[in-house]
Order: sequence, then structure tokens, then C-alpha cells
Amino acid sequence: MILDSDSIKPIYVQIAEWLETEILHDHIKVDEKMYSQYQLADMFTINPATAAKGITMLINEEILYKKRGLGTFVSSYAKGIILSKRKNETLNKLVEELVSEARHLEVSEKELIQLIIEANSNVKGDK
Amino acid sequence: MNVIETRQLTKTYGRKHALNQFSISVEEKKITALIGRNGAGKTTLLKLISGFDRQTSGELKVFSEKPYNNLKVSANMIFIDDNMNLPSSLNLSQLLIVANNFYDKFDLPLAERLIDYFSLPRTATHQSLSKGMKSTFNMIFGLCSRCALTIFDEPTTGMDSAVRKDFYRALLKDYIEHPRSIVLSSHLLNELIDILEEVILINKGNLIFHLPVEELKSYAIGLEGENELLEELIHSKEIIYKQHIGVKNTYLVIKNDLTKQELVKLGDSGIKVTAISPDDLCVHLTAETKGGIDDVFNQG
Amino acid sequence: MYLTKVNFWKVIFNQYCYKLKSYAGSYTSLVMVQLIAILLSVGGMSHMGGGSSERFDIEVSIYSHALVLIFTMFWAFATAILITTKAYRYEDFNFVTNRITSNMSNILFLLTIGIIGAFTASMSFYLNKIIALLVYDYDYIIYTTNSLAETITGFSSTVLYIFLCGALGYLLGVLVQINRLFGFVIPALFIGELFIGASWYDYSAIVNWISGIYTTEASFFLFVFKVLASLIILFLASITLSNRLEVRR
Repeated sequence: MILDSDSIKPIYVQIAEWLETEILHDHIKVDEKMYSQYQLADMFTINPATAAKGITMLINEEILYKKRGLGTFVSSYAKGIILSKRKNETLNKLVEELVSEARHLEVSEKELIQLIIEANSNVKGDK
Repeated sequence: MNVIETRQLTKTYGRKHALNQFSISVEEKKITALIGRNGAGKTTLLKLISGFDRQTSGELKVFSEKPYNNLKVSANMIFIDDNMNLPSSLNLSQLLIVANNFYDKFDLPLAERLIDYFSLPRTATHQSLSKGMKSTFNMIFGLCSRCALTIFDEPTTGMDSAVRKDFYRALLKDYIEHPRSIVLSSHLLNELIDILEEVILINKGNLIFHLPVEELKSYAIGLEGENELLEELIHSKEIIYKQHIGVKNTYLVIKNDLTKQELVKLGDSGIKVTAISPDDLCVHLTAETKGGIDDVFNQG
Repeated sequence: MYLTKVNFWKVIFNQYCYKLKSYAGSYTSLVMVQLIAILLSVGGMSHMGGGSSERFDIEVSIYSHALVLIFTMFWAFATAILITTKAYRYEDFNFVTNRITSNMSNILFLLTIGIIGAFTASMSFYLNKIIALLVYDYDYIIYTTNSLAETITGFSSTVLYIFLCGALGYLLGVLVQINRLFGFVIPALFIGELFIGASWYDYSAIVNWISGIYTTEASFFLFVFKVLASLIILFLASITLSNRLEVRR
């Protein structure tokens, strides 16, 4: 992953998201050790404090847990938390933006729903 | 513990205030950037911290001691800038050996590896190097000294972008292995922001802010929309920058103290809300006028 | 926070070693200065009239290495001024130092070049003899032999003279660093006094005063005492004054 410094998202959020993706892709499994702040700092050329913030964010969300003196590990319900979070936050936000943009473009609710149905069937068709 | 502490620090040259009632404290083992335009007082501040010069008034402590003429501060601090005069009678290898004698924690093998990596000729004198190579050598010298307080004043002058990238990475890697307080002054904030923990913005000898990097991104926001609409919405806000776009639209940068409701309201009324990059933020905050260079031409 | 402990004397020693290496240019200038002095004195300092008879000619030339010594003293004076200049002062501050250690290592350096200068000046006397032999085809060279004690006192006073010149140059250099005006005023006063003295009274009060103190002392120990006292005064003044100087632009 390459970090996007120009993005509105703070770097530590980008780090947290990258770690979540690592967990979702099973690169790091339940109860396995997570990268340390220094490993992350070295990997992405970022300040260790920024990396630590990303890790702390995941600990607060109980995606990671801390073992004193040993580091942080992936919690057993990490994947579930990440998935529901992404659904709630990312999808909801996207839908919100979609709706607001549709309003500017004077797209009616019906048209919008039709567009979503079409897009969804296209994706299914691709598979 | 604080590695640098200043209180009402003032330095005047003649009648000009190079530093004006400047108060900051920098905690130890952080990478901090000192950002400001040319003549903002960056070098003055760093020179006072390094003990090269004496303040006109106010208080200054480095490692809890007064730095001027202080041997303990000198032994634990290194100041790297592009005015470094190194003797022409010694070549680069010999200079590193001298540095190794002076600084207890100097890493000579690392310095030699870096010199080779950046293809600096070991037998050349410092004077014979090009501007960029001089900066590269100075950077290696500063990095390998491993001083508890390492100060780089405009370290990347003359370096090409590949070397600059290598420098930031080398600095970070060495910092991870040997955490210490590092202060970098620069006007290129964007390319080094990721390795920073804190940023100090200084303008005309005054402190504008001292913030953790994450807070920089949310310090201000950009708004773009119709003039009347904007004016009505943000009449009580602090405007940092203003630019007219077309006849009817305005782009505004304001301090981000908006509540969530206010933001939603802005969005609903068709005003585009954008993030401000830290670099732009610093430029706007230190600009002479609210409209920047455009104001000069608009008056004509 | 772990901080390196500093040892005052170790810093001075490090600075001193650094200066011995980095001020290499001053050794080259020493060689040049002494060579010029030797070449100038090859002709002999003074000639005494010769006499001649049918069988042989006598021509007596007196050689002395006074000229070499004077040149060396000027060299020490100039070198001392040079090392107080900004470029040299700033070099110190690239490494661990403060103004005291910087001054102390400079003083040690000036003492060292005093010793080197005195040594090469003494050696140059022999060189002078050899050159004279080669150039003039003399039959005899008569020279005074000194006892060990005389050699030692002679050598140490040479060192002290050169060191004293260094100390004078150092103070002048520091004064010039504080205010450029000193660079004009002091030489102007000195040279002016020489001219006025020479043209009006046929003697210079300053030169007389100085030589009265340092060159006419019969007791070696009193001489050493006087010089050491002067050195301490000169260097203390330099250190005190330079403590106010800023480093790096």
C-alpha cells in the first residue's frame, strides 16, 4: 500500500484501515501478533507515534488486544467487528454522499434506486 | 521531559524583532518540524537553542540548562546547516574520524556506509563538493552523531528529490533504532510531514501554532460556493484565506471550529467543503494578506 | 534522557588535536617564511673588512639567525590573528566546544607552533651554514658552541618570544573580531608612533619600552616570569573579550 498524504483521512486512520484489510485477507490470523508501531513506521516511512495511534484506534475498537510486554494481537472477533464497521461507516457514508449528489443532479428517488439495482446486477453479471 | 523550553524568548537585531515573546516546549524523543517562510525567525531560534547566540530577553532551557556557552549542551546537541565551515585541510574520511572523537555516540561504520551509498568521494575535501553533496555530507554527519538533540536547519538545500527521499527514510530508520529529539527546519512541509510527530509554525518571530501532525489536517477547512451564501454562513468565523472564483463564487479557508451540524448545513446548501493540505495551510497562515499574491495585482 | 557526560579537559584535548590537523596550512607558511629568511641571510648579516697579503685574503662574514627568528615571530603573530577570524572560529563550533575550550585549545596550538617555530628556526642556523659553505667556498666556519644549559635557555627563550608574539596577535585578532576599526586603529597608532618617534626623536617610545622589558633582562628566570605574566594577561584579556562573540552567521 502507498499512503496518500493528500487524502482528507489522517495517516493513522489509513494505517488502521490497512491493518484491518490485512486481517480481513487472513494475512494475520486470530491471536497472531500484529505489526509493532516501529515495524509499521519502517514499512510506510511514517512517524512511529502516528503508527501507534493507528494501533491504539484498533485496540479501542477491540479488533486488537494488548499483551503486556509482548505486543498487540488480533482478537477472536476482529473480522466481525471490521465487517460490521465497514458496512456501517463506509457504506452508510457512500450512500449518504450518493443521495446528496443525486439531489444536486435532480435525480429522483425512483431513478436512483433503479440505478442501484442496475449497478448491482452488473456486478453480479461480472462474477 | 522537555528537551527545549522557551518562555517569552525575544531576540532583536537592531530594531528588528527576529523572535518575539516566543514560548514553546518540545518534549524529548520527538521529530518536530519548524516551519516558516524565509526570515520568519527559524534560524534565529535554532541558533539560540544551539547556544551560538544569546537572547535579548526571555528564558531558554535546553536539557534544563542555559545553552549559551554550555559544554554539556554542546556535547549532546548537533546543529547542521548549509553554512557549515569544515576545514579544507581534511578530507571527508578524516572529518568523520574527527567527529567520531568528539561525539561519544558517533556511528563511524554507518557514516562510512552512507558516504559510499551516496557516492561521496572519501578523499575529497568538503569545499570541493557541490552544494547538494555538501548538504548530503552534513546530513550524514548530523545523523551519525546520534546527539540527544539533533537540529537540521534547511538540511535538504541543493539535494535532488531522490536524495531527499533517502534522507527522510534514513533519518526515520535511525530514529526508530535510536530514538532522540530531532528538530528539522524547512519550508517543504509536504514531503516530510509523514515522518513528523509535531509541527511548529513561526511567522515574523511569532509562534502561530505548535501542533501534533494529525491536528494539522483538521485545523482549517476550505469552502467553495456562492458569495452571498458563504458570507451569510460564516460571518463570525476567522477567515484565513480568500480567493474569488469566477464572478459569483468564492473560495474561503477558515479555521475549523465548525460543529457537525454546521458542516451538514454547509453541505446541504451546496457549498463544497474541502480539506486543506498542511503545506497550503502554512502558506495561507503566513501570507501577508488574506488574498495572497492576487491582492497585489487587484489593487493596480 | 541519557546525556553524554563531558570532560572539560578532554574537550580541550580533542579540539587541540583537531586543530593540529586542520590548521596544516600554518606549517606550510612557516616553511615558506623561514626559507625566505634563510635566503635573505645567506649573504651574511654584516661583513667586516677583509685584509689581504701576498699569500692569502681574509674576508669575514658574520652570520646569525636573527632574521629567521624575527620572521618566525611575525609568522606566529600573523597565524594567531588568522585563527581568530570567523572562518576558523566557526570551524570549532562544528564539533563539541564552548568559547572557553575553543580559546584554550587555540592557546595550546599557539604554544605548539611556538615550539615548532623555535625548533625549525634553530635548525635553520645549520642549514644556513651549509648553504654558506656551498655558495661561498669558505675555508673556515667558526661558530660558538654552547653548553647544554645555554642551549636549553636559548631554546626556551626563543619559544617564549614566539609564543608572546602569538599571544599579541591573538589579542589583536580578537579585538578586530569585536570591531573592525581596531584592525586599522591599532596598526596605525603603532606605525604612526614609529614614524613620529623616528623622525622627531630618533627613537620609538613603544619599541624602547617593549625591548626594555623583554630583551634586556639579565636574569633568565626574571625574564621567564615577565613573559609568563604578560602571556597570562594577554590571554585572559582575549578570553574575556571573545566570550561575547557570536558564532555562525
